[in-house]
Amino acid sequence: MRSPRRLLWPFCRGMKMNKLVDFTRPFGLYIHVPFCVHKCNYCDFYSEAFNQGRIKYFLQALQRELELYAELLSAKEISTIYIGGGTPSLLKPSQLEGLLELIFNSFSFTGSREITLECNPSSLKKEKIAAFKKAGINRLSLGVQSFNERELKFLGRLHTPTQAIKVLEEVKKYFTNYNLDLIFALPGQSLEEWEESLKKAVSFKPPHLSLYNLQIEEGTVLDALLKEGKIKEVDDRLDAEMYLLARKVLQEKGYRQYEISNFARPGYESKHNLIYWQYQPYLGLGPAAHSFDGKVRFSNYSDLEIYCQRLSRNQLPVAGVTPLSRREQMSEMLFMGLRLIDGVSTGDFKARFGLELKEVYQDELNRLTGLGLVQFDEEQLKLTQKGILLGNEVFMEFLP
Amino acid sequence: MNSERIRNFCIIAHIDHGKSTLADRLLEYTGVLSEREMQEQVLDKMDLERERGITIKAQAVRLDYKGYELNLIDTPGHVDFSYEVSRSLAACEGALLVVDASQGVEAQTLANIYLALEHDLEIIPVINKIDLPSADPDLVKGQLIDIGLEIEDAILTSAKEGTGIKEVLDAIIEKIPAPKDTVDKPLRALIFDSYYDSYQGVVAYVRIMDGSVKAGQRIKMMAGQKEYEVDEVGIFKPDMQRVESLSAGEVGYIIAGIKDVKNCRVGDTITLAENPAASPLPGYKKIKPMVYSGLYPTDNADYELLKDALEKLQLNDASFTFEPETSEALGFGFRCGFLGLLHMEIIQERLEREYNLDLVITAPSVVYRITKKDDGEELELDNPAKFPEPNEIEKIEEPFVRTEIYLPDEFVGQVMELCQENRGEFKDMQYVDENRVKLIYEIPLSELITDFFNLLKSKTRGYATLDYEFIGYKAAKLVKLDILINGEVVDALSTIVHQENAERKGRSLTRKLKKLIPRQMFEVPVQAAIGNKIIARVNIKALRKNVLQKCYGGDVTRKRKLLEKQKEGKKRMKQVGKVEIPQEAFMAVLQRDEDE
Repeated sequence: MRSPRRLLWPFCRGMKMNKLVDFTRPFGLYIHVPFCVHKCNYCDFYSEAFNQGRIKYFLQALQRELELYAELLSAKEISTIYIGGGTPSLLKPSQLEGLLELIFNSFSFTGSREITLECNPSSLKKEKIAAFKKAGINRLSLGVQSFNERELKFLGRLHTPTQAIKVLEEVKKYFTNYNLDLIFALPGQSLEEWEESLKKAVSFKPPHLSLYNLQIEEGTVLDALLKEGKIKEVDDRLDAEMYLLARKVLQEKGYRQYEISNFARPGYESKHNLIYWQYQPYLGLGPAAHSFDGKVRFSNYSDLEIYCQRLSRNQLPVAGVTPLSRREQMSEMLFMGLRLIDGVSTGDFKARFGLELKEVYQDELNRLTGLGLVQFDEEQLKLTQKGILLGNEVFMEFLP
Repeated sequence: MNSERIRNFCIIAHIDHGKSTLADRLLEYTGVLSEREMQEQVLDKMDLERERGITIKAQAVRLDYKGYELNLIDTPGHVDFSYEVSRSLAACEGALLVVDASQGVEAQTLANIYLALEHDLEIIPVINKIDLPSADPDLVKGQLIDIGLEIEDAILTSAKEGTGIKEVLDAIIEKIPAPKDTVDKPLRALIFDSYYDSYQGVVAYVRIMDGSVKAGQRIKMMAGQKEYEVDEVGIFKPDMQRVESLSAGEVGYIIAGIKDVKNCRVGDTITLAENPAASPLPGYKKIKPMVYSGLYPTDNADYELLKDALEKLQLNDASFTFEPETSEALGFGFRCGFLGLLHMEIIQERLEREYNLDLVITAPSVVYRITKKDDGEELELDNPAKFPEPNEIEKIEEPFVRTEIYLPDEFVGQVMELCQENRGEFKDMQYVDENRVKLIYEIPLSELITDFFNLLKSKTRGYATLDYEFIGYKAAKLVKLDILINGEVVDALSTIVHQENAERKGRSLTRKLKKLIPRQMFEVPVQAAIGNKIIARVNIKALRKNVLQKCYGGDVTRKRKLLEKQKEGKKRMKQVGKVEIPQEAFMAVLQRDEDE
């Protein structure tokens, strides 16, 4: 197997970061707020126990990180902001306001100007919702996950279905643009239970829905249960049935599926997430955040202490830098882009690499077309209905 | 060196009786290597040998002791490699017979003693591992007397602790005869081993029987009739060391820019082009392989690489044969013949490790004799895929072996059952000592080469040892069991089974394949058939959904790794028709079926 040429940051210390990395056009800004009251049973994102003192410490470091990048990068424009975590809704509205102010002191905002805040129904009080709006947030992403009490407990969520319903009713009053996350294919979940949760979610008429099948990641509570034999992974046939049911229900309600797991009313697609799928640059700040300037990937230390210490010495908290070969860039552009229902435009591919998609991947495309997994014409390469269910079989074909 | 002061010897022993450790001590004592330089078991050069704790290839080394030149030629101990042993023996005048003081004489010890006696070697018995609490040297001496060896001078050693090493060295000088002084005769050098070096070409390990040889001379391979100019001659200490010349009685190597491995066969005789010997040395008896299987590159593009690797391996392992074959399912590959299952595994591992090849190996088969109905024509077939239709066959005969199984008597019941299940015919049972038993069975070789040996080991907690010899062919009611995947016969999966077991084996094989073949994007039926009659069927359900659903957050590297892992798994599979079949599936017949 090829190993990516990940450069460890200490070796690059002598090198100026701007020799390796540069953003030359507007990019998406991601901020990782690594605090949670309680870690969910399925979650493998980096997070620390919530504590006001630590949040202050973190925000100071974050400010430093923003300032360092503002000096370093040639592009000073951002098009989206996404505050994720962790549980960023644990931040006080005043802290959030301060954070956005810092961002706008360093960068100017152009384009869609979408500012998303990830919220956990359990930490979202009525007053907070209004205050977030006032602070400048214009999109919320709500980790509802399920409307079934037993399922929420199984996932280790702290909220109840009733709490989620109340929060949603409040959110609707202040936000026209918000997303609702749901998880399906839980061990023991029936098709009917999934349908119930989904229909409940749709009854609020959210402009955007993200649906994920449960992925049991290494090192999580669920992973331990799986290894102990206490839970069983869901059969992929049931998983597919649930997924297809959701697509049908949402289509009937006027949602358009624009990505493998994402559905929106026209105009409400997540602009920030589109940046990832359209292979555009983004800068990630905060511990464990990942960045991509179009040619190079780099990521921060997944440790709050190291992150803060480095910044207190005016050093970037970058743990590693991975420059991508052209071939790797091509493959990533395809496997990220194919996640979109509209797929990848052959013109964009040519504009970026100066080569015809059909020439670079002739054999792969023939094979995949033959299997009925992709549809390919002069303008577009995209997954077929069958291909959407078997996306990995397609994506891996393009790996170098 | 005056041949009076040369001694050529080898060490013969049953596997695990301490041969390699004793060799190490001899090297250490004579200062070939300081203790610090000693890596354990220096003579086992291959990684594979060290890992498995067995010697596969013969190796040579020169020791200097009391003004004598002692050449040690190491030999493999396993039953599959007796051919190698006989090669090494032909280069020696004497042998150390190492017997474990706690285990006593074993099947392989006997086999080796007879080989040594056939070559007129002086045998020095060495009773090793006397440091073990369970050591019983007197009992072992008794066993050796029974065999007919003189044991007054048997030496007691503990190679592990280094006791008795000096006595062994002295005995080599005193008892093993010096080689004959024939330095004035025309050169005759016996090639007893060789390997291929990418810079120097073939390095031939030789024992000079007559005459002498030095760099610059023109030599001739007596079998191949090809001539070469000698670049270098040298000795092993244990690394290669160039010397002026090699003469009668000595052991060393010759490098002569031989690039084509076919022209330097082990067993051939080297002579001088100018003054050739009248006749070559007696070559080795060509041993016929007993077990055959197909070797195919996973990636068809590697065919030439595989061919090249096989040629190089065969250079120093003439007991293994190969010829090109084609399989409908697997494409172009080679039908390879091996001395036994271990031999097959070793070759396979060496190909994968040393030549970095990804291989598909088909289940091993024996050589069947078939008489056809119409014209009475007799065929010898080593590949089930090549069998004629059942209605064309008058008679099938299969090879039988006589097995000697040594085991503690408490396991006798279970082992007899195992033999019976594998169509074994009971011949004899003897107590070799108070609680060790020798069981003799005649068993079809085809049964022995599936997982008989593993089952034997597991049923006796590893205590049983097995030796076997070919005794001849017997007719049996055999049928070809075909496997159909997705409706098509996969020729590489066909096996020959006994009629009575056919259904059971068919069911078991389809079940095992269902476990081994990953789900495809469509439903795949797996069927077992005899002729046109389907006798078992299972379905591998279609893969419905395989898509990384949660893919946001900027960590693309991790997603890529996940895809890379899935892709890597596929690379090791062979595309047969529309179905991707993993390498293990072709050996499914050898795997234990838990439901059985």
